[in-house]
Amino acid sequence: MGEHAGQPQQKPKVEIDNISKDFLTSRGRVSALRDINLTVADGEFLCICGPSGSGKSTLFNIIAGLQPPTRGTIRIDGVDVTSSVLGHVSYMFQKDLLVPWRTVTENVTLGLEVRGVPSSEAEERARSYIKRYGLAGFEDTFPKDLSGGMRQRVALMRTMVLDNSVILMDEPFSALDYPTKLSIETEVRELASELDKTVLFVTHDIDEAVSMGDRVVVLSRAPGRVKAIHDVNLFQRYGSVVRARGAEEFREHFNRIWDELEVTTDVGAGAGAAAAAGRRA
Amino acid sequence: MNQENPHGTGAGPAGGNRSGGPGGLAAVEPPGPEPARQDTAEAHDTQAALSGPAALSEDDRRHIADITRRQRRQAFVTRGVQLLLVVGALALWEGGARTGVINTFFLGSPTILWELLQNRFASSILPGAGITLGETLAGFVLGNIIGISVGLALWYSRFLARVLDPFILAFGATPVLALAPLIIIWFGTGYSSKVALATLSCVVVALLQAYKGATSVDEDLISLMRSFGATKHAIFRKIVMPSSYSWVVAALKLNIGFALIGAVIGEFISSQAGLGHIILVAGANYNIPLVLLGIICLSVLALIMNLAVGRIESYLLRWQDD
Repeated sequence: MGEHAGQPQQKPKVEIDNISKDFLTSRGRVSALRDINLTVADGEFLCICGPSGSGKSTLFNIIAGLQPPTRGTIRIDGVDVTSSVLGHVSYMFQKDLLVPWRTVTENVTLGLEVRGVPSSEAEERARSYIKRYGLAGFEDTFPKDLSGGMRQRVALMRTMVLDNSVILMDEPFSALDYPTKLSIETEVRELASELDKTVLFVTHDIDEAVSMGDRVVVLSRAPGRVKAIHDVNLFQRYGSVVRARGAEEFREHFNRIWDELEVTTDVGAGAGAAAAAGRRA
Repeated sequence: MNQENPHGTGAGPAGGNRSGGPGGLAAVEPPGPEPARQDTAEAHDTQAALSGPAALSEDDRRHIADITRRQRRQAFVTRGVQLLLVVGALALWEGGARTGVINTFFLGSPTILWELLQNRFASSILPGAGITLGETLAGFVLGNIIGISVGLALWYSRFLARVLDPFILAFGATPVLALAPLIIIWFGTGYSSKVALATLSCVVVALLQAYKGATSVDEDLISLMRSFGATKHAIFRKIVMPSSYSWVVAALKLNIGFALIGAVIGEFISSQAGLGHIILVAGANYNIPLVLLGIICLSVLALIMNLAVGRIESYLLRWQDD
C-alpha cells in the first residue's frame, strides 16, 4: 500500500475502510463513493485528485463526521470515529469562511473557543501563530481589509491551531492566484511537518498534488473509486514546491495522473485529442 | 418565514434600500464581504508583511495632498451651494411675505417663525421635543428587543416560523395609523399609548431583520462550526446571534424613523404633550406659522436622531465592507 521503502511498518493514523456513500435522489439511488479503502500513515501528506463529481468532498464530510457513510468505517489512531462529530479532525474548506465581524485573532481562536479552551490561552496561541506565519501587525484587522491570500492564511492558522493531528484540506488554494498559491503551498507543507500533522489534501490541480504530496491518490469519476495510488515524495526530496516541479519525475507523475483523470472536454475534439493536448511534452 | 418569496426583500447594496414587498416593508441587507483582493505581490512579501506598510515617498505624499485638497474643495462647494439655497429660499420667503406676494396667514414668514421660536422655545417646544424623543426612543428600544427576541426564536423553531409566517405578514402589512385609535383607547391618551404605537411601528422590521440575519448565515460556515464539534447552542451564540444583530443594526436608521412616525401619529390622534401635540393644537387654532414651526422642529429632531443612529450603526458595523 505504498509504505516508503526502508521504513518500518507504522501503526496507521487514518484508516478508511470500505467507505461507500449512496444518495437517494428523485432519480433513485445514486452512488457517490464506492468501496474506498485508504490507509494514511502518521505525518503523511496525502493528496487526493479526482474529476468533478468523484465524491472528494463527500469523502471528507464522511471523515469529519458531517455525513454518515452508507457502508464502512473510519478509524483514527485505531478509534472508530464514524459518524461522530466530536471535532476529531480539523477541516479546511475551499472558502476561507472567515467570520466578518471577528478580527484576525478572533477568527483564529474560533475553533479553540468551541472546544472550550480558556480565552486567554486561546488568544495567546493565536497571536503566536499569527506572528510566526506572516501576519504580524494584522491581529486586530477585520477580514474586509485582507487580501485573498491573507484570508486563506488566517483560515489555515485557524485550522492548524487546533489540537487535532489529522487535517483535511479541500481545495483550499484553488481561488488564489498562482504566485500566492505557490508560496502558501510550501508554507503549508512546512507547517504540517513542524506541527506533526497528518494531512489529507484534495485538489483539482495536478501540479499542486504532485509537488506537495508524499502520495497521490487518484479517484475515478462518479461513483468514486480509488483508481490509483502514486508514491511521489517529491517535496520530501526537494524541499519546495517550485523545485519539485522542476524535477524529472514530476513530468512522469503528471502525465500518468493526467491520463488517469481522463480529462475530456465536452466540445468536439474528444478524449484522445484533449488528453494528448494536456500531456506535458 | 416563507423563504422562496421573502417578505419585502429587494435588498440591494448597503444603505436602507426601501423596496416594496407585498407588505410594503423593506428588508435592509448589510453589505456582504467583498471578494478578496488580488495580491500578486504578496507571494514574495512575507517579510514585508512582517515589517508593516512601506514608508511614503515624496511623490506619494504630494499625490495624497492633491487628492485631499480636491476633496476639501468639493465639500466646500457643496456646502456653499447648500447654504446659498437655504439663504435664497429664506430671502424669497421673507421678501414675498413683506411685499404681500405671500399670504402670511397660510405660509408665515421667516421673521414670524423666528419670533414664535424665541417665545416658545423654552416653554413648549423644547419640552415637547423631549417628550416626542422619549416616546420614540422607548418604542424603538422596546420594538427592537421584542423583534430580535421573536426573530431569533423563530430560527430555533422552524415549525414556529412556518406557523407564524402569515400572521406576521398580515400584521406588518397593516398601517400603524389604522391601529392608532384602538391603541389610544387601550392605553389612554398619555405617554404609554405613544410608546406602544412607536413599538408597533418598528417591531416587525426588527423581527424580519433578525430572522433574515439568522437564517442567511452561510451553510458552509455552520458546517465549519460543526466540524469543530460545536453544539447547536454554540453555533447560535457565536454565529447566528451576531449575524442577526448585524442585520438589525443595518435597519436601525429606517426603524427609528418608523418609531418617530408611530409616536407622532399617536400625538396627532390624541395627546397632551409633544411636538405632534403642538402641531395638532396649533392647527386647531389656525396658527399656521406655529404649525410650520412645529414641522420644522420635528424635521430637525428626526435628522438629529438619524445622524446619531447612523453613527452607532457605523461603529457597530465597522467590520463591514463598504
